[in-house]
Amino acid sequence: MTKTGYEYLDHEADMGIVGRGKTLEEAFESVGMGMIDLVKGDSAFNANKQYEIVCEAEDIPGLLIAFLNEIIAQMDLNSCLFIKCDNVIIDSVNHRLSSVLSGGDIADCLDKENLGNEVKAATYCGLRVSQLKDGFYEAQCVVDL
Amino acid sequence: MSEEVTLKRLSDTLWEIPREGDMLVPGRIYGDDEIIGHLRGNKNTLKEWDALLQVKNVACLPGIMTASYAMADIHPGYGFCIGGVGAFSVDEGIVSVAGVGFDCNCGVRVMKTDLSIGDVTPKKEDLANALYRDIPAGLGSTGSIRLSKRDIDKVLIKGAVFAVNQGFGEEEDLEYCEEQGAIKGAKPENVSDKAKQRQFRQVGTLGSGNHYLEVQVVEEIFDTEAANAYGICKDQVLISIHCGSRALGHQIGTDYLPILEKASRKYKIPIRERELVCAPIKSEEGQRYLSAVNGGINCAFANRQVLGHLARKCFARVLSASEDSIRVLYDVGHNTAKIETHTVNGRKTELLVHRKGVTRAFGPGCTDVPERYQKVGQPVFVGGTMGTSSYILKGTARAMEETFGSTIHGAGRALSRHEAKKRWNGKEIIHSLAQKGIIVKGHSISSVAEEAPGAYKDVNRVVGVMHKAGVNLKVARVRPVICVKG
Repeated sequence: MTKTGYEYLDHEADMGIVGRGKTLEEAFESVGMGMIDLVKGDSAFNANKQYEIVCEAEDIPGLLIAFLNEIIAQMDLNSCLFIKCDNVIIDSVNHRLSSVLSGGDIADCLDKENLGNEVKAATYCGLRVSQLKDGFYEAQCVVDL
Repeated sequence: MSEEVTLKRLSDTLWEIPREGDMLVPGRIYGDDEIIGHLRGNKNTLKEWDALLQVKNVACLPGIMTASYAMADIHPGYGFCIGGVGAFSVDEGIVSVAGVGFDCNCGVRVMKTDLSIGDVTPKKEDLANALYRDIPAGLGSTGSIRLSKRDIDKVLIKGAVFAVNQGFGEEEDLEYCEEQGAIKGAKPENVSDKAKQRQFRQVGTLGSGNHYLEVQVVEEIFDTEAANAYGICKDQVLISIHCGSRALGHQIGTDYLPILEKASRKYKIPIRERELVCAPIKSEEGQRYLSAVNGGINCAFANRQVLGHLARKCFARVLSASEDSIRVLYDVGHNTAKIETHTVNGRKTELLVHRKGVTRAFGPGCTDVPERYQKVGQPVFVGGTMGTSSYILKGTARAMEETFGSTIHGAGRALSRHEAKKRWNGKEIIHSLAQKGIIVKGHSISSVAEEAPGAYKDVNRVVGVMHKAGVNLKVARVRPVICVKG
């Protein structure tokens, strides 16, 4: 895989996502995009809304799980789908994160048959957040489908 | 403790991980050479994706009784393997989020009609279209039951009873549900507002992924006495609904993982996998989690009650059948943690039984089963795939002795979703199944590819192992005629 972006990892029942970036924030954003694309599939819709999210956890790996679970929850709470997460800001001392999600109402999606997977939860399975020898960051976990 | 797993064969169908290190009991796994070979050959890059190690880790948890079990549909899960059973002393034992998972009381409801396949075939297309239209399914779908935000607490307490009170079904439906469709002990105050808000529009929705509604026909009867007790016969048309507690269950799992992680540290229970966190059953954290799980269990009962009644209405309208003629055969979950009484070393003992991807399978004489089934044992439903058979089984005395009244729940995946999508195209799958007389209505085309029949293990093998072991016995084999996928 390239130094940035995400890749899916094979998992017997669900889906692993590994994301990379120049910074911890970019690596988290890459995993978030991997999950958002998993849900969005090949569907197209008008992404005219933005949602600010904040979350916190006990440690940095836990923060990745909290971030992904917050994205999942926001889809149900707002009946919407996302196309993007960005502006990820991480407070590494207090293990807090904020981000902005861009999306639109699911009711406005005209090709629902092209949607991807519903994600139940991000799990601690395979959870890893690390800085690589080349200085880039890598984050991964498995999401339960 | 070593992460190497030693396996000893006890019989044709049962294997043991002998006690070593911190294990309090042995591990016991049902399987034949192929099932066990697949597990041993499964060299994943991540150690957590090892179902056998997960069986071993559960065997180390405080208060576990007899053995850490896995049924023949075992595959890697989160903390517990899928197909894992862990029964714990209510005094010294623990409750674990991993033993329930992210979909409390995901389960199967089967309804029986008095129609034969010959009655349905001429209107099969109309029926499939009606079910596709009227059963809310797929990503972002909303339920047809109208709730106020306060009502969601009633769903958590009353389960299927709430749905019946709202006009979705009949009193008699409840008699044929595990726990009569409403387990006691749910406390809505222990379920987060976020969980309730996520679920608010989703009561009575099927979901997506491997959840489905199938119209099935009974292809073969193996056990006439049990089939008579269940009221099923060859060529009869059945409705099978597989779904769970939707977003509410997902959020309960998410919310309680960090709470039980802290509890594990507080009560000094080693965390062997980050998902395998737990709290003593009698602790404040354990009691809170159990009361939330009970709410999730009831939510799933309510979902299946609503969906069952919507399917009943479709049948009545399209086939001019009377609604009263479509009755619940049984409704049973496969992701639960419940307090039950079992005989351990000759003594009746109260236990908390976790069943993760495992169906309760009570044998003859259990009063927790509808009176009409008590002589033969509880019905168990094992889902195959949209292109292959499913099974109706019965629980046995042996299941009560060996597995705390538990058995398999499905075929289990053979290929990852990723691999399945590379191999198959959803539209082609729909076309090829149509040639075999199976109408598939999928809300997501890619989901149909992921759920391709070839992506699953052979259900006949998995059922055959448990039948040979005597943990459950075959009653009937059914095949799909219509499949609505989320």
